Amino acid sequence: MEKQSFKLTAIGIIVAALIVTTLYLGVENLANNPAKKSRTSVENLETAPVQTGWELVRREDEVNLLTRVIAAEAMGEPYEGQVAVAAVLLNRVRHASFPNTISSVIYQPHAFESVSNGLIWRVTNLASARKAAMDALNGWDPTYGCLYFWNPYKPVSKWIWTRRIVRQIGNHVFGI
Amino acid sequence: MRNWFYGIMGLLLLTWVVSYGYIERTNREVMANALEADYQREFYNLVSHVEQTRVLLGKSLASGSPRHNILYLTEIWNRASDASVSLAQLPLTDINTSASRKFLTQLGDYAYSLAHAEANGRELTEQDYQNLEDFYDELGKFSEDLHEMASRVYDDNYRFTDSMLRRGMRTAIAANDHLSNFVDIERRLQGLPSLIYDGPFSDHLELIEPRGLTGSQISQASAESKAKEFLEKSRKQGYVEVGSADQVNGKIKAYSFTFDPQNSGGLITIDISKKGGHPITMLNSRPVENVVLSQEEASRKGKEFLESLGYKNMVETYTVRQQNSQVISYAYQQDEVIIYPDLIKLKIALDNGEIIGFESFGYLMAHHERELPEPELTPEEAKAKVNSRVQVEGIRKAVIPMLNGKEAFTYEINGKLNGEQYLIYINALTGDEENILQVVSQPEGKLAI
Repeated sequence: MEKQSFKLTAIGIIVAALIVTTLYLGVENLANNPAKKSRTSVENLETAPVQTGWELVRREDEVNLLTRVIAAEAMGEPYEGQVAVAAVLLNRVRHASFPNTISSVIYQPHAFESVSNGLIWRVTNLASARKAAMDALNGWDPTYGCLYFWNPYKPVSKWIWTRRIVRQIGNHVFGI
Repeated sequence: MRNWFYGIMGLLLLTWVVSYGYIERTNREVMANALEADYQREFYNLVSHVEQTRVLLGKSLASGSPRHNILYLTEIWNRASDASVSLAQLPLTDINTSASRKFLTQLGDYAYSLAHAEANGRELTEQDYQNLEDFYDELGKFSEDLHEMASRVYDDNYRFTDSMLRRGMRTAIAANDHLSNFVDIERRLQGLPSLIYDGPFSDHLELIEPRGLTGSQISQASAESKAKEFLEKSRKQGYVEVGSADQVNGKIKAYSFTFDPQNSGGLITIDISKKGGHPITMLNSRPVENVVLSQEEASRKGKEFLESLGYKNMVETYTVRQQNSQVISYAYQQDEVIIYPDLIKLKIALDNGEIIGFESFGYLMAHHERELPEPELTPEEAKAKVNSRVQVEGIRKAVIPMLNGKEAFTYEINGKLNGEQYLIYINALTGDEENILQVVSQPEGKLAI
């Protein structure tokens, strides 16, 4: 009799656990819906208005937008390489073949791997990327106007290799 | 008993797997549909923007009134830009559309430059009309291709998100693929001759050669000693050299050197031009922990540093605080005229006054001794051109860079309106209002927009 009730309890627990996990996964997945995940950056870092007089409008929002992409795309790269990635984004904003705002360049479909795989929303180490974003907005461009960067040690589309390469910094090649 | 137990367990597991899968599938569909709706909207927006641009261009060609034509041309500028934005948001994984987007941007930009010319009282030339006719033809074909695709998308219930799921097995776009016309459009537009006109996306701007790159070709060894000399002037402490020199094959060809500063984290990289051995950029990534120097002291150190490198007559224009550093822009001054295109930026650490950033690309591209003409307008006449509601506080002469790559000789008038500060640029030769910047004050510095 005791054995029997033990089994029933065990089954009860397992069933309850399964129901709970199922519901939880379902709820969590709904909460993960990207439409609802428009959290803004909440780090309490210094603001950085920057200025050259003649270029883009600079706002804290733009520093924030750039920071996450740099952190995700140039993780582990030398500092100059991080500035270079930010500069490529800004060069795209000013180029006829690309959208004309930072946000539409970043979120252009398939433009950045870290947006496709969601890494830009998961990165946490942002301090160095933020500094690089500000330097790029202030006009530093180690790429001399490049529009593309890629990792030469990874398989990439053949087309990208038809670009003129300006330089390599760390694990990234920069091209026009 | 035992079998019964495992049977139940198995059944439960199966139920769980099935319901889990079902929930996941439903979730995925909800998201995929939301995304699909976005893509469908952008696609049909594109079709409509291109069509409307074409119609507006037709009306512009038919218009006999320059004043109304300005309205059409400005509207073309907006519509073409909307079309380009929509095109950029489509998930065309395997199709390159950069020439198509460039075409739309250039068309809008060209229309805007003509509107600007007409606003300044210039009539459109035969060449302008010919260019517009050519754009009109191309736009007609573009629009036709889009309509063709739109009807195929409609007939077959094509979903953009399906193609994303097939990403794993990329195949070349077959001739009968739903979106193959994008390939045709791109091929046609790639072949267009380059367009030279008075706007920021004119093809000739990519060909501009640096004017400030004086001197002859130098060897890597002498570039290296230039880099070290630069470092000794910018730093208080010693450094250790690391790695070998890299070549930089940009608009200005350069050698790049990396150094490891002693007693401070972060590498220093310096690019020295192959022609003339000019420093182009320097970045020192060391952290700056505390602030000892004031902005004025930093500014003075920056000017001394520039003079030690041989840059004479540089005056501070704008400055902003970036974390614990001060970024200062210096412009060249010739005969009391500020030459804004000849710009050098310095980043100065406020803990010990070291120069931790240098940027002179703008200076090297633009710098030369200019032949500055006598202004046709007196300062008083220039002030009179300013809107009477603006309270004028200061005036000086300045050469400013224009979006079309040229420069304009102007009076820079500093004025106030509604508590906001403005910089108004009046052409010193023609009296045209060339540009207006609004100065936004922020705790760390001023921003001219």
